[in-house]
Amino acid sequence: MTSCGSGCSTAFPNPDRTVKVHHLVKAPENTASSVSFRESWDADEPATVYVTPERLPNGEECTAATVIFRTKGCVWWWKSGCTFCGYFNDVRDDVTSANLHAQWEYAKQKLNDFEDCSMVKIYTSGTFFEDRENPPDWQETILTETHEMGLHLIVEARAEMCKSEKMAWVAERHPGCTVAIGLEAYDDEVLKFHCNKGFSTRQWERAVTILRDNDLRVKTYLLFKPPFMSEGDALEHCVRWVRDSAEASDELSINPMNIQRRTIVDRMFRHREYRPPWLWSLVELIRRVHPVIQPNGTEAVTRLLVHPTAAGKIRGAHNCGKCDKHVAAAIERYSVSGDLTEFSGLACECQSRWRAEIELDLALPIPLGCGLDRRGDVVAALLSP
Amino acid sequence: MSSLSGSVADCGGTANITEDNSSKHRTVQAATMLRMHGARRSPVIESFNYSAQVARIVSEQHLGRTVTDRMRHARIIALGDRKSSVAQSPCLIASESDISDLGDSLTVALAPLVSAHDSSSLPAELVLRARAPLAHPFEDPAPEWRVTLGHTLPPSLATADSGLSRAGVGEVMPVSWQRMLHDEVLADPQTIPGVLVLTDALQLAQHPGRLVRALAVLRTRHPVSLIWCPGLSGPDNLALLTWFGVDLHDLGRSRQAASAGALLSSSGPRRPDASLEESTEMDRQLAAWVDELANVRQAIRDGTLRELVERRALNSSRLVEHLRFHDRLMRASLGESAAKREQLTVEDEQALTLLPSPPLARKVPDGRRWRCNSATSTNDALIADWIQRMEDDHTPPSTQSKVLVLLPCSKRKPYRLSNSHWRFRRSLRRRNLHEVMVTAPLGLVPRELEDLWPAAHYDIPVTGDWGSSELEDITRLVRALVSRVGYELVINHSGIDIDADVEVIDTRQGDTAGSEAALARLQQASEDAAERYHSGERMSEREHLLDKFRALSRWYHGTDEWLADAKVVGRPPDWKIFVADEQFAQWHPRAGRFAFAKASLPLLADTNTLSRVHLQPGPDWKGDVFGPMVDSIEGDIRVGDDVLVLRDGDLLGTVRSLAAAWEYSGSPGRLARAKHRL
Repeated sequence: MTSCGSGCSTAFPNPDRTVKVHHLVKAPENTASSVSFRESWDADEPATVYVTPERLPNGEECTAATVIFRTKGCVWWWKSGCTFCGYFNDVRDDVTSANLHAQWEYAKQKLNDFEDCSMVKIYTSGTFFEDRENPPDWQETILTETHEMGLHLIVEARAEMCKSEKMAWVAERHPGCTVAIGLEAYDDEVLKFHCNKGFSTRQWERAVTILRDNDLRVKTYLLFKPPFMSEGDALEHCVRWVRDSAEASDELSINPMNIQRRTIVDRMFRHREYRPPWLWSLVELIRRVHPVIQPNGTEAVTRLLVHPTAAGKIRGAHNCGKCDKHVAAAIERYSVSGDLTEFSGLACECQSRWRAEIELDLALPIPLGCGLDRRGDVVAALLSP
Repeated sequence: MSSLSGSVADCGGTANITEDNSSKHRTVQAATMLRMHGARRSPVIESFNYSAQVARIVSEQHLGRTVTDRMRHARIIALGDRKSSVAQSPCLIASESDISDLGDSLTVALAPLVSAHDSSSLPAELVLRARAPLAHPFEDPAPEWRVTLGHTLPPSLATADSGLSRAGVGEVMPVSWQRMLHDEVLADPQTIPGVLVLTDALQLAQHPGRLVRALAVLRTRHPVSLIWCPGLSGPDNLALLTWFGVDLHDLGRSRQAASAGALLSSSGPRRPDASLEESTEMDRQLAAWVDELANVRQAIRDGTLRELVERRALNSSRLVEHLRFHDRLMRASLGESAAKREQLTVEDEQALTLLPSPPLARKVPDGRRWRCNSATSTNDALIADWIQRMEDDHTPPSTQSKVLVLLPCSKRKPYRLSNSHWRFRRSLRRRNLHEVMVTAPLGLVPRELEDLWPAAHYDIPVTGDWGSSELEDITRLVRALVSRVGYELVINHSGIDIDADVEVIDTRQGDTAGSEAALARLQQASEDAAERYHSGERMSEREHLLDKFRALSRWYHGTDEWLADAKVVGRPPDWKIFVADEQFAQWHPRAGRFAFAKASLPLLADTNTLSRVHLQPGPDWKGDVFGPMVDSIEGDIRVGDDVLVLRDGDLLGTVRSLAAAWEYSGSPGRLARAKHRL
């Protein structure tokens, strides 16, 4: 018997003080590289401004502007943080209202006051309308200006931040805008253990009710393959989460995990304990949830979006390297067309390896999965671990 | 009879365990951690009662297990009713898909268990089902166990404990590195799982040294359990995993190979040979498993598993690493001075606080060989144990402490049976000269120990070239021996340059060892030395033999006190040892052991010569010694040792141990065979 730091007896000596996952999430924030990176940027310029093709709530195709602001970050990050979120790399606690206004002016200038855009997405690495994160006067500027410009607005928020009073305030300044909530998983165990999300499915449901009461649109993000989960479990459960959250969402966006620097997932990835999802898993997911999204060919229950960040890259959802481009393109096409025929004829020799991994994950007691390297020589990947 | 009886069957049907009194006898388990090497030292004894743990998991059915063969941590364990077991480990755990794909070829004997993973809600559950009635009363229906896997953090985050949804406890028990570090239940002596499932073995294997550390601790702390590393096994690493103590395996990696169009063979993964129309379907993958399972099981029985392990380790660089880490851990666990010689990590040091000494043998069956065909062979703890004890402990016969004669080894063992040594000995007619053979990989083998394991059993390829580490070992050992014994002269007939702080006479002078000139010089030097250091001394053969037996006893038992008033009688080669006109022992050179007579037992006990096993209270001891009968042990019991049996301080007799010390804390089945009963 051995004693661990807290005086208990464990099977293996554990002289280090036992910490919570929370501590591991927070640890990289204060590394020298993280601090110097955060201090390197100009607080008067947004992190990114770009345009993408999108669809308006009525289904019309349009151009959407995305502005990622440099902010003070997320209240939940100040307290704890999600296991996969690397947004802390882009935030600093000295950002002022003047800085944020300057960033907004920069974005408007860069995109000619959004002259070709019908939609604007405002990302703040936290909750847009949380007063501790973002000054209310700046929030008001964004809401009213975008409304006056006739732009459809999408902002992001945490579920527990969607309070009745505040939502009425938002709806008053930009009626009908979309509030995107990172639900990640419709499963409280997963939210708690895998994501360290800090809110529950019940809180999300309450948020949805409040948003609907204020005639605001609900966009829900689901995370495909949170950490500490095998590919097989991720597929099975994400199908369920889509089913359980589809009706409550005007849009459902599935975000396949991508490895963001200095996160818990990054740490696991570097220790070869976690691999981002297969693109094939996303195809399979879409095939399975399609009947839920579009039952019997009727009007879709919700709009399903799958935009794999860094698709085909080793830190994003990827396949063997040969088929990634085609598979990722088909997934993107589906997000626009909602048509399963986008996947017709799609095949690759790596598909059988993907299928074997899913089957093994669902047959063996291996909660962390059995994924092998998907790139390079297949025989070398099979060498004994 | 409750469902507990499965564990009674595990203990093997000793004559004195009946169903009526079995509850008393089941209250037995010893956990003994002995940080000793070679001869006996002050032992640390830890023992505990088994009854509480039995009560704790009373509701579960227990998988019938009986160890039938063993080598180190590798064991063949019969599953089910020990009288008619249906399968034996190492064996497979099948999935439902395996059974549907492979049909009748996946026999119950090959895969007696089926696993299923229920992740309909997280954390997932493991369902393990037997394909035959493997639990008491060994009647249908076959048992099934269900356990939650709990939330598992990967090894890289092991400093954290989520504290959420721990894995379950019971007959089938999931373990992870995180659980080993944070969950107290694993260290609880009341935790006696039938099957330990290392659920993050695949991830642990990516962390240098961690897989073998985890396995070494789990293996030795839970000798009663079968160990499974899901997703890790293949015909290419079966031998190594078995060597590390893993008992159960699955077809996971073979399925991965099949899906990639490759064949996972005992030599590793490879593409199929198209010209032979070779298949990579699962039936062909299974054939590779069957072949390797047979190889491994037979190697355990033959005592040749280490050779197979060394061959299979070359299948991947990771396997080479695992074996090196394991060898290092085993060498370090020989004792404090051994540990100091190794470059250990903090985690190694931590593991060492839990590990008993490595499960070496002291005696082996007749005809066994120890083939050191690869450089890796020399990393084994058996070699390190010999070298270290030669360097630190061995004291030669007291009358041979003035002149050291270094001789070359011979291919034939024991050396004295070789032609070359017959000629050397013709040139060495004086008994007072201490003959020591220079060899690799053991370094030095004194004449008095040449009949012992592994000196009389090793084989090594001979090219005539010495490796630098071999020369280093030999030089270091000679210096240590010269310094400790205090020789005044070294006659060096080995052909190796010896640099010691004492006069050295080179009798080879560039000639071959058996050349007339060299032998003449050897004879001359030995005659001169005898004249110089032992002039006028006369010693009978029997006095000399007694001196040799004392040295042998010190090597084996750490003491020669029992020989203080002994005399040697009889005829060669079976010399008898008498004390007070009664035969106490006989020396068997072929077996390399003392055979003790019943009359010697009180003296052996008084002089603390043999290790001891203390039995739990109960009816008269009649049969052999089985795991559940053991209360505690004293001493570093090695395979082949004679061990005193005591109960409540009363000496009951002796047994000859089939198992090493680690198995005395609950290993299922017979641990030792009775030799004498007082």
